[in-house]
Amino acid sequence: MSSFLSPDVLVALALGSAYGMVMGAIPGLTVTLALSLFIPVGLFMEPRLLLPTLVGITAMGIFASDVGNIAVKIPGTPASAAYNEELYEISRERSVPYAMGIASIPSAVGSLIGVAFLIGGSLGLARLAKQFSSFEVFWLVLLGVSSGVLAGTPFVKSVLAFALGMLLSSVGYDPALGMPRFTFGSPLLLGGFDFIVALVGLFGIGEVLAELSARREGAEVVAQGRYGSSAFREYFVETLKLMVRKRWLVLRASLVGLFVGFLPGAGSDFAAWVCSNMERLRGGDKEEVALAGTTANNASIAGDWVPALSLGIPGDTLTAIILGMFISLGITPGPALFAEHWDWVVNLYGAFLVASVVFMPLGGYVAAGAISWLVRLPKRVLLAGVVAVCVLGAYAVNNNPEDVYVAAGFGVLGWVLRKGGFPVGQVVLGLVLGPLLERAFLVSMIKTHWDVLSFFRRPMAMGLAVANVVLVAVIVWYRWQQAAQLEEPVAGRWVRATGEPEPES
Amino acid sequence: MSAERLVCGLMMLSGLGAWLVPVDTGGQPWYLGPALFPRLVGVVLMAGGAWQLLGSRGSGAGQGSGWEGGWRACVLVAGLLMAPWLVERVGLPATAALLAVVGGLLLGVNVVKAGLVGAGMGLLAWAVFLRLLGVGR
Repeated sequence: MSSFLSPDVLVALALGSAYGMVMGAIPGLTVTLALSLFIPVGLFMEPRLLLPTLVGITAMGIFASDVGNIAVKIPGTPASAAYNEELYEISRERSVPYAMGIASIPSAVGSLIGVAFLIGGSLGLARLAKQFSSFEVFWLVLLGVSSGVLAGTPFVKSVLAFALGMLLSSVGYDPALGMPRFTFGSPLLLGGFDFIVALVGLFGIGEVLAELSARREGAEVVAQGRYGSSAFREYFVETLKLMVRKRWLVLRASLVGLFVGFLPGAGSDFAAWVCSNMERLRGGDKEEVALAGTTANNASIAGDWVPALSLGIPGDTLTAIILGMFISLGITPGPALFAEHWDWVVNLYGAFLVASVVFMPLGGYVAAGAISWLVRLPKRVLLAGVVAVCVLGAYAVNNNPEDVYVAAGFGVLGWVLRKGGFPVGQVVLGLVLGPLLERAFLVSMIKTHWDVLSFFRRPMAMGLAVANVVLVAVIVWYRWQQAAQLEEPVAGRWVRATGEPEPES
Repeated sequence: MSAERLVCGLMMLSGLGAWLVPVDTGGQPWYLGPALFPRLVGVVLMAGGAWQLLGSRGSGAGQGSGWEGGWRACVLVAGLLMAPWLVERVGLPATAALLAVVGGLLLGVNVVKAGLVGAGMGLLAWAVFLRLLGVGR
């Protein structure tokens, strides 16, 4: 049995991690693309080296999607769009190493907690995941929709932006019956809008257009982020202090991320959005929102592997590609994998541990240095580079030049939404959750010949339905309390400032 | 027109579009097929857009209501729309470099710095995207 600490395995893990980190950090390039490009190489590797390489690519690639968030405010994945504003502002208001610390060290902890559960209960968790049919998935996604929409401010604009995202997600083949919708005869629109192209447009091009339209001759350039006097202290010590202070938040986000991760079809995007929105609802500050999102993001990666390894059911595109490679190499995922190739499973768990404890914090520290150097450039110079990166990123996703049109369209949308004070992130949430919700609803309805009561017949579905009602009630009560608290001090300030009773109107 | 009102109008139009654009439902009534979700969302967009439009004070709550520098944004969008055409003729690295230069000049960067950014981006496009990943071949 080979050890995951043997030199060749560690080298494979390090190379995979470096490759995943670079691919994840460049806006427009994704872990899915990184894995797809790696397939021809991976098929010639020994399984004991292939597994750690795959772990390195996925774990580091997902975490590195925050690099674009901090450097140029372009999230690399829909998951990192969940806390895009907060992480970017932390990097500019405090320091880049601190923001990078929040992106990487909680990711490592989330990943570790996820691995602990992966080791402890793969088979048990997978059995629970098997209980989830389209009815339960519908209620679960609705939980995400409720928390996302109700957490947004201002409320009506948040609902509108989310609804627009859902409408945009309905372009292309419908997720249940495969009927084309809103394609206007264009083959480009048949597959719908690609998430990454939409992100590049909404956040990258939208930001450049907003800057261009706001700029007047001789206007001051916005100050850039600073490296800080002690990068090491900011990156490690301050982040660890924050995590110790917010230990229950980290644990909660890890568990939610892990749970969402092992549900087929949900994935890290959903996990990050749910956890970030819950913190927003609780009135959490920027650090708490970012901390919850980054932790859940990576915990869900370990969760993704649970049904993949123990049942052979891929949770998302990444695990689907990995399972495809396993099968090509003669590795059959499922309970037999644990009995017949226990050494490979141990290697996999070990690779996750080493990637989380060593490579993720180290990679984040190196990235913090690179970003700190990058953001010393004047903002206008940086944005000029962003224009080119957006074109390259949009083109690279599907190697399709026409995706640049889509990115430009989303860029204009992002610009106009920003100008009108609409939350751009909610559009991404609608794009992510819209197809999940629609698929779960339509599949359930087709299965039961449109018997709406079927959503309440299964015990787990009923439990989730009650959870939805409770969540909405709690959120409404909480927002009402917040509104009441906001009104009181204003009245007090009026009396203190004027010494007179507040006028009636 | 304030940006907020413009967006509200666009939201309402999108919602209306979800009802007016025909969807192939495979012979089923619209409420039992692929048209159901977009039309429900359309109702939300029309109602929410109207609510927000009526409540809008016209001040533009986002990043300013003015459109003073809007022409620069329009020039850049035109450049982006030309990108696929340019890629076919001059290749991906030159297109990326050209757009970085145009973007830089529009943003007020001087010619030398814009040229340097363009060269850097062209190099990145050539080395990483074209040679390594095979994008645009």
